[in-house]
Amino acid sequence: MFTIIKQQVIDGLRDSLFLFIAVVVLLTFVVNGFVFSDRYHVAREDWERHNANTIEFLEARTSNLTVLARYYQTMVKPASTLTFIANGGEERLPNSYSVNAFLYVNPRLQNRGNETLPDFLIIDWIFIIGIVLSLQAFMLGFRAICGEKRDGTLRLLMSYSVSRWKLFFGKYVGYLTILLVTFALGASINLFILNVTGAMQFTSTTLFVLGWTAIVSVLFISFVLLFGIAVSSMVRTPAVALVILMIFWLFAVIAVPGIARIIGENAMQVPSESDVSQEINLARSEIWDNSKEGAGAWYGDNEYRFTQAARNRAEVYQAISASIQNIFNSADKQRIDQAVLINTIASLSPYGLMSDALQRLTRQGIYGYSDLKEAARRYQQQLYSFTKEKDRIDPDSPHNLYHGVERGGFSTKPVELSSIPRSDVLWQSGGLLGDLHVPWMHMVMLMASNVVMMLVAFIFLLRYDPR
Amino acid sequence: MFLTLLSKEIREHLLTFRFGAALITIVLLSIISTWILGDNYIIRKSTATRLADSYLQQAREVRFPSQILPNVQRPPTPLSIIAQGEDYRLGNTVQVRRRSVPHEADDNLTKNRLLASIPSFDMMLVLMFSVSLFGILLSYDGFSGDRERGTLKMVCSFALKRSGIFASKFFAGSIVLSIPILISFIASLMVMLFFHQITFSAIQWAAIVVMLLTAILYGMLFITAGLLSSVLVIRSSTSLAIALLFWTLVVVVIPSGSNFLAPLLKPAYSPEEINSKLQASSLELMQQREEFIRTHNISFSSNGGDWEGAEGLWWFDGYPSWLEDWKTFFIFYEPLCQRYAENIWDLRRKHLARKIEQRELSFAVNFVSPAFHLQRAYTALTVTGYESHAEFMEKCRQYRHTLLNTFAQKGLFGKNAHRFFTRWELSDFERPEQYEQRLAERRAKGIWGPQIWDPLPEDYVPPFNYESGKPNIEDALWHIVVLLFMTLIAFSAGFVIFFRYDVR
Repeated sequence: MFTIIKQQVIDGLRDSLFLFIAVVVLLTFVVNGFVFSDRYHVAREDWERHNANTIEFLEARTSNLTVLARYYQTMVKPASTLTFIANGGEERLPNSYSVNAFLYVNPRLQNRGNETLPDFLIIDWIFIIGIVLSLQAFMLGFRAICGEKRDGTLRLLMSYSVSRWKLFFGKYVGYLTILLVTFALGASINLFILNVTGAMQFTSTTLFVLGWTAIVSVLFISFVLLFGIAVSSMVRTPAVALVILMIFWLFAVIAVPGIARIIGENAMQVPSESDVSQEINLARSEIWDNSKEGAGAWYGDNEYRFTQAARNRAEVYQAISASIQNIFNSADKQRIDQAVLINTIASLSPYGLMSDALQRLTRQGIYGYSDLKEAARRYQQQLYSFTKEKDRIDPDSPHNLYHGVERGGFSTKPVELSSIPRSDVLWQSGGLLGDLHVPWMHMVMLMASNVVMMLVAFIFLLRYDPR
Repeated sequence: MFLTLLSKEIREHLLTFRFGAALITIVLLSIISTWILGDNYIIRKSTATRLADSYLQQAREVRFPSQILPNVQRPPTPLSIIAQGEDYRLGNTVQVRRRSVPHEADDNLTKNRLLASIPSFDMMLVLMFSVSLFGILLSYDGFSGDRERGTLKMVCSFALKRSGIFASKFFAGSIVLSIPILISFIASLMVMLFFHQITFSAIQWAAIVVMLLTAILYGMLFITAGLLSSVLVIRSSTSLAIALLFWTLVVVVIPSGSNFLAPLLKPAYSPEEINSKLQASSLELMQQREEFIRTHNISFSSNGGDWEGAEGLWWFDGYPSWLEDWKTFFIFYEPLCQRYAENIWDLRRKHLARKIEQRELSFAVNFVSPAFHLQRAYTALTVTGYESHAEFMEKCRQYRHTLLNTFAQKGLFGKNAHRFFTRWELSDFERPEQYEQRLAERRAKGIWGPQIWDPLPEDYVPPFNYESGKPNIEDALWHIVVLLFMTLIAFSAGFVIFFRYDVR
């Protein structure tokens, strides 16, 4: 069998098409390294500048706890070191939240992305592995069996004492070896560039992600190769095999993810911005309608601040804040669920499955957005606890903490800048929020796909007529 | 002889598995995308109509000029079913405000902004990938394959010039590839017309015809590219390698790479510049407001927010002294806010200009990609490109100026500033009992809040004139000419090389 493996490696390396695409793979890895390194540094610089500015703007409000608590800070998600693996369309997803002590709302896009550019794919590892390397795997696989038949060498091989399973594994292992060598070479150059330029350090987190990314990539490449060999074992001419493989490629890479989006949008309706605003306005009116006596009027004098009417008014505002947050969270959850549903539907294609697995692993795309939302929630709670604590120790405060325009509900005493919680410390050094999770379900599905495709390919080869 | 060879080539192509696969794939994917996007268009259109009605209703409910915050929108075009362009993720509704210059649109139609990261799937995308791929697959072995089979020698021995042989292969491939394109257009149009009841104007029909011809031209280019790779080498496997490499580069790698590289070569400005300017402006405004209130001894205290009869639902139902104070304050504060808005817009415009430079750079790199020209031609014809969105935004900015001019003409930023947030005149307070009586009369009828007044006359809100959906055939023609030019070059090159091709 080793002879067959060796022969396949040599054949593959002699093949002009394979070498052409291998050069494209290496080039895209190099481009990926330089571009993402630049992007990372620029985004990191912007993020640090933003945090410095935020401190400056917080400082301008430290003279009054009420003003500080109600001031909406823009909390920005830091650049991730792992975006070169799975970009997840981060240029077009909101990366910031407006947070104060009472609410975390208004996710917005605040980066150097360019919305005027047309839609094309981003050259991340998903692109390189899922598109370029998979094409390379097809180029090897499509002639594996029917090509040998056309050249008349299959009969010759069969006439030796080589069993069909040895032939199958010889071809599979030989081709997989050269594909993985191309991948490993490109990935090493890519990681070298990123490491030398300081865009990525080999920490335990990045090594964890890289390790699992390698496993997902190997499983995907192996599946694509097995599919190529299976198709090659089903048909009699390489041209037909190639056409079938290219159609599969079109469906897997272009059609299924695109159709998934449209199906997801139609299958799960989410509220629009105007629906959310309308709901908030209705809730606000309802709360005011049901408010207790005296809540409607504000008399700014000191005596009023300690009355039951002032407390009633505070209750109204607290209820409005809670309502706004609930309505907003509910709408946002529906949007996240819709995006996850689309990713799940797209996972019907091996490309979508691999893409979703890597986005989950690196916490990019919709998963990165979920992390941002979680960070905003945590930070809002920190700010609220901080405000509550500072207000508690102020003897002149009526302790009616609420979000409104009036001053006097709670403490207006100055606070120290250094004591104010900061949002930037929530994030780990690599731009991640918390623990990383292995997408086990995706791994199992990729492994199962490999086993099934291996069986299919082998069965077809067993039945293949070499004449 | 030429026609004999042509009909033979067509017959051979029609009998191949490749043709069957191309037919099924292109037609099936086109129908799926049209079907689903057609449904999507119907939903978007009805949402847009519903919103337009609600905006009109809101405008009719306005009692004070301070409440005039018109929502203007760009309705979806039916041609977006064929190509969604950039339009679907750039938003469609703008609320025109006095204190900010429109720079981005809200998306009230697609609803989920989190989907902006997922590429659209439309008929243009189907044609871009599948027509080019099948063009290559139909022609990569046009000469090298015949040579391997030994039939090329025989064909060359006929009384037909090599130019005729080359042309027959080219036309045969083009005609055969045109069949699935034509069927997919017919099928998609049937879906749109009969299932979705969509109607097109005459110019939109013309645009559809131009799109069909562009797709055929695009297919012809790849047929030529396949034939060119076929005459460059003697083995069909090598010609397939060259053709597929060409396809990978011009359809997949270069369009993605150019978008990817443009920001590296021409970096955008930091959004932090705008963010800090906004924050600093807000602080400055707050300080100037406090200072003015203090020095002019204004009888209300301001603690931030946006409530001084500014942009919202605030209205005045108080006392004469307040009215005077509000008027004084408003005359000072409103122009200040508008000036700040213009300054921030200047900064945003600088940022946008850099993004446009990036876009132009990306387009320059993309010039060699036929896929790019197909995409730009389609977005121009379907009016879904960034250009049409930018035009809409410019209209919104002009509309804001018109609105401000209308207010200025009515003296709302000067002597009649109090009318911005009240319908009372100072003279109404000269006899307080009369004022109280009028108020009591209306409240007795159960009318509270701004509703105690009749709606404002219509001349306060100028109409927003915007017509969308007119295909830009002129822009599309430029890209079509480039595609034609590329086809001619590839054809000429293939033709010349075939003259020197060794058929043995």
